[in-house]
Amino acid sequence: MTAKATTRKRSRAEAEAEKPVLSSEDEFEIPEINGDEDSSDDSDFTAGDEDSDEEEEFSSGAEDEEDEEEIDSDEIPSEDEASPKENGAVNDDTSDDEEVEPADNVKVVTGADGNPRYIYPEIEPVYDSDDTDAEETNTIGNIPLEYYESYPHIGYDINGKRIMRPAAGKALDTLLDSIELPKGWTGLVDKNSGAALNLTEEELEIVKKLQRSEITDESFDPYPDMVEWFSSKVEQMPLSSAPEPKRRFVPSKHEQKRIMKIVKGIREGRILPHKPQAEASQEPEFYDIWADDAPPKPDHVMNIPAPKLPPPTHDESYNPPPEYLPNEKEKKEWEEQDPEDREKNYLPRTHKALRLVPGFNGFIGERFERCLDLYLAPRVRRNKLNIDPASLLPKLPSPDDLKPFPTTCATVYRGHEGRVRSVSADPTGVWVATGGDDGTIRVWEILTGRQVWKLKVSSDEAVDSVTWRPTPEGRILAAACGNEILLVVPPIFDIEEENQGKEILSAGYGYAANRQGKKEAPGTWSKPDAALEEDGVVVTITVRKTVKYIAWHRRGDYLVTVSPEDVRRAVCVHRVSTHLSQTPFKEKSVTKGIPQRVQFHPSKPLLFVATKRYIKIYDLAKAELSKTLKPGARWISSIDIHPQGDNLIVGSYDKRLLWHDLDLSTKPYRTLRYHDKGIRAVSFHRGGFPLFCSSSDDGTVQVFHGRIYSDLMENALIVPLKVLKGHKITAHLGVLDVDWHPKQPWLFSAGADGTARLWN
Amino acid sequence: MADTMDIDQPSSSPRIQINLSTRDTTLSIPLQPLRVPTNLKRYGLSTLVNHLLETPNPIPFDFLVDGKYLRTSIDEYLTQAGLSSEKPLDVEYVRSQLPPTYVGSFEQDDWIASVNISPSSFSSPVLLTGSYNGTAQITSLSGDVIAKTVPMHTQSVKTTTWVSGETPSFLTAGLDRAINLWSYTPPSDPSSQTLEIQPTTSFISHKSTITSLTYSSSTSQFLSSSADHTIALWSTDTSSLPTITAPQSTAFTRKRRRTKAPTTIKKGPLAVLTPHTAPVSQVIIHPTDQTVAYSVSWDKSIITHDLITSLAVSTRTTQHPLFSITALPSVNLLAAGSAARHITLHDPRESSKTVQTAVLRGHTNGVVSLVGSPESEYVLASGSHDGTVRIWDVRSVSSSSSDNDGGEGKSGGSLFVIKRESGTGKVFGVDWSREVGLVSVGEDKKIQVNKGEGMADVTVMDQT
Repeated sequence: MTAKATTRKRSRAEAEAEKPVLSSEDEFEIPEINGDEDSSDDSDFTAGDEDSDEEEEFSSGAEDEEDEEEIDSDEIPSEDEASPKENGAVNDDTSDDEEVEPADNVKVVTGADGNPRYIYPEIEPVYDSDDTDAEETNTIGNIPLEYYESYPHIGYDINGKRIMRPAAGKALDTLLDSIELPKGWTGLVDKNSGAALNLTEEELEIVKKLQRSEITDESFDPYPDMVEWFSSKVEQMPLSSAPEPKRRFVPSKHEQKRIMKIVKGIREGRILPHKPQAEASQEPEFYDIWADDAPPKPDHVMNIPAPKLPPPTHDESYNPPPEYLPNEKEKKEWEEQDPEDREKNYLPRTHKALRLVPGFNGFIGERFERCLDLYLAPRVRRNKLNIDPASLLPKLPSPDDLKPFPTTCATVYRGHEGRVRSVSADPTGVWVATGGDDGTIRVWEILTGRQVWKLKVSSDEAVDSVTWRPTPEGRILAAACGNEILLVVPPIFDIEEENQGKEILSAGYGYAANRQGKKEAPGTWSKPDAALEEDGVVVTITVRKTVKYIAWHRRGDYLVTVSPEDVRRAVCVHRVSTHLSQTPFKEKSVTKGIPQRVQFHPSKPLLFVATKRYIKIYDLAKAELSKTLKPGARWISSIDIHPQGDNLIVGSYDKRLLWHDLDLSTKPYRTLRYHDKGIRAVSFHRGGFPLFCSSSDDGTVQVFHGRIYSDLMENALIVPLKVLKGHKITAHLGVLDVDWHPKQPWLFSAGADGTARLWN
Repeated sequence: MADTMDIDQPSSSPRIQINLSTRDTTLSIPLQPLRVPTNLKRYGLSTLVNHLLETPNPIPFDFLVDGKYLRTSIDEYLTQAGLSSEKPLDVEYVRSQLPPTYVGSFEQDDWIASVNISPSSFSSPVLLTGSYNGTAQITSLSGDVIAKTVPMHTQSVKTTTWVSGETPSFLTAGLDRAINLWSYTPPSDPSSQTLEIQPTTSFISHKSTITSLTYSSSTSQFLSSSADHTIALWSTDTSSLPTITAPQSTAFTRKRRRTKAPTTIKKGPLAVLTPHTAPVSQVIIHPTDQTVAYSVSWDKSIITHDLITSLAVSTRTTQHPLFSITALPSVNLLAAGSAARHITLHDPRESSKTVQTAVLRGHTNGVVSLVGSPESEYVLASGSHDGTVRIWDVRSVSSSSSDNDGGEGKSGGSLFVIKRESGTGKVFGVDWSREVGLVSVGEDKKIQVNKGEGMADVTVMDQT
């Protein structure tokens, strides 16, 4: 018993070892397995592989090698249909076709009738073909195995024979078994066979896979070779899902016929291609809702038109003539009649008005409303918005009401060779000073245009800026020529005034002497040479780079200059009384961007520095930046501050004149875009007239009315007044500077055409 | 009179009734309605008036209808004015102002700022001109420079005036703030060399450009106005003036050193009037009442001064800076030239309610010089920076609706426009006398003389 068990075990182990390489030779084992009690398990696991093999074999002709076990052909219903055919074929081809003849597997026996009888090998009893293995199963049913513990058998097979308990090893074997547990040991006992229920190699593999949470199907390859669908390699025959090219299209004959039919129809004119369908499909613009509902249908057997109703007669009216009204007798007669026999199904009745007809309110009235709805009749007359567009424009006063302002050119100051760069009217309002490209400073009589004084400062450099000191005492003119600033007292004034001015300027020489040896100042104050001194120049200040603009402080002690080329010391403040020059901004970062213009606030200690894009307001008392204005211009050319100090105008090279209300915002309150070319200079009137102007490269000066109200809630009133034309455009330059007369509404302009003009 | 009406006029022409009147008492005719043909022009009417006056020599007349000179036929006038010929027409006739024709011009070497015709006491009239080169010249009517001042003025001479005393003399002033008195004795031989005139006295007070001088013969006083907002009162009787010492410049310019100026007596003013708040452009003394002076200034005001008390009597504020003034005493008017390119007429009397009575428009630039006509009390001439001299008649003003800054609603146009013969250039000064005619000077460095003369021009005028 024990020996038998071990042999069985071994043979099963062999079978298991050979299973993975299962081939056609293994069929020798099959009968044995079939006979074996374990075979059901085995065959279950191998069923897939063998099944597929089997299938192919059958389809290929069923003449495969099989073992010679006899089987009744009747027992294989699946083969019944194939075998007679096969038999026939084989019979026919026996003589000539040897290959078809199943030589090895098919036994040919002579039957009882004398005919040869083919005996086919037994079919592998796979899961779906047969259940013959049910015979081997235990038939005890679903009872605990413990009941058979005392018996040598564990149950009965289908034939009633005892199924013997497999030999259980001795205690030592059990111990040995328990010490070296066989592979796949579970410790369970097969209910049917009583043997130890161990897991096979495949089962173990499956369990391992489950543990690894892999797919248990062997046929699934979790790591297939990657197909490089998209690679750098250029394939000779690229994989493509492009549709079949039309050249491979084989036309269908049926379709050909149909097409030919259509072509024929077109040729004969029965079918009109490109039939203008627009008319048919176009929806009518208006619907005639009162038209007959249905269009007249074509005459057809199936179309029987509804009979036309006769028009209503008098007695159908709600108020028929009295002769149509039935009398009592007729009424009674009508009522007594059977409804089917009545001539008409109503009795004429009279009502005074349509609205008195019973049911009018609910019926006719509602119909009427519906008709109105259909007709889209408006019930409410809507008033059209009737606003005069002119009334929406802001009410600006007429320029005639805002007189006086300059309108015509009164005087032309001729004399400069080359452009006139700068113009400035003196505080008394009698003289006007100009500086030009010819390096001269000239002073003119305002009304007559007579040049009364001229000073040639330089032969090669232009006088870029001239400005009178804004105080009534001491007639001092500051002029910038190259990198020098000249403080001049023109000898056209009263001697007392002239001396006063010279004293103011000379007073600082003493301070300058004491300061010798200190660190280098941004500007050097020096006495001019004798020739210039005789002409009235009292002091020259030399800075590093060309000075483009000079602005005086209102008290006349400080003047600030701009040299845009000097990166570090672009803005310089000079003090007249002590002959001291300073740069208020030590670091370059403080005034980022090239300063264009500077201006002192007319009343507060503020300094306005206009760089290319921004205007920075520095508090000189606290030495800090108090505000930055962003006019939004690309390149600011000039600024001017309203004499009251709360408003600022900015001219820019991108043609814009911007009005800033300093209390309002850092953005401009108003943008005036009237010039055709860049604005060169802007100026406020400082003598009480609410005027300001801008001059441009388009050769014009534009005058505006800019009134500021003392009421803070009211915004400034800005009215364009006049375009002053007269300056000629020379080399794309027009009017380079403007200045107002200190008291009169008169305007001075400096043109690139070599003239300065007075406008009044 | 019906006969007169029909004098050589075709009877077919429509007629209109006119009422002829005049303000000239010597030419008045009895008031009577006349019926005249409507196709009559100025010449026909003038013939009619001469006929009525029975003048031995025909006097050219002009006719004013509703403040406008009749320049067309009556018919056309009626059509333009939209009047009916049924209504009688009021026509005022005035002595015709002859168009001044160009007589000649004399060139100098610099801009000429002012011109004065010698007073009638001179045997032969001469012209005193102040030049921008700092000298004053005396030119005869033939164009010869009779006399010239020595370079006393360091800067331009802006204004000059004659001083009529026992010895003829004149005053000059200008940009260098000093007034100089020069005595001039007409040379016996006009064709001799140019006389060099020496200054006698300097009058120093002003701090800025002196803009005008005016002399009163009866009081021997003169006034100067300056751009330093002041008016100074002086006397040619230098003994009444305080002597002063003028401060010297600490640094003489080369120019000053080069021009060795003669030393003169320096005198201060009798009084300084400071009612103005802006540069005073001109001051005049009333022609008949020499204790009254009028001044105009850039501060837009006309101020009447009493010279005895040196006080401002009244102030009239106009709407524009004023550059010049002249008085028309017989019609009680002051004409002031303004920066707004027009001349305003004012009644300076206290009784006058209005600031200005009329506006004369036509100039295209500031009016800087005004002078009354020597022949008619209603006519004045103006010189302007627009380069023209215009002649105006103060009677020729009418109310017009287009007037928007005159205020008083009356405006008028000029009678004649005299352009510069040289073409362009500002006119700085004008003067007008019966003998010499209308003299104007200006930027073109020329003295231009125009004179209205001869009856021949009347027909010419009709065609214009």
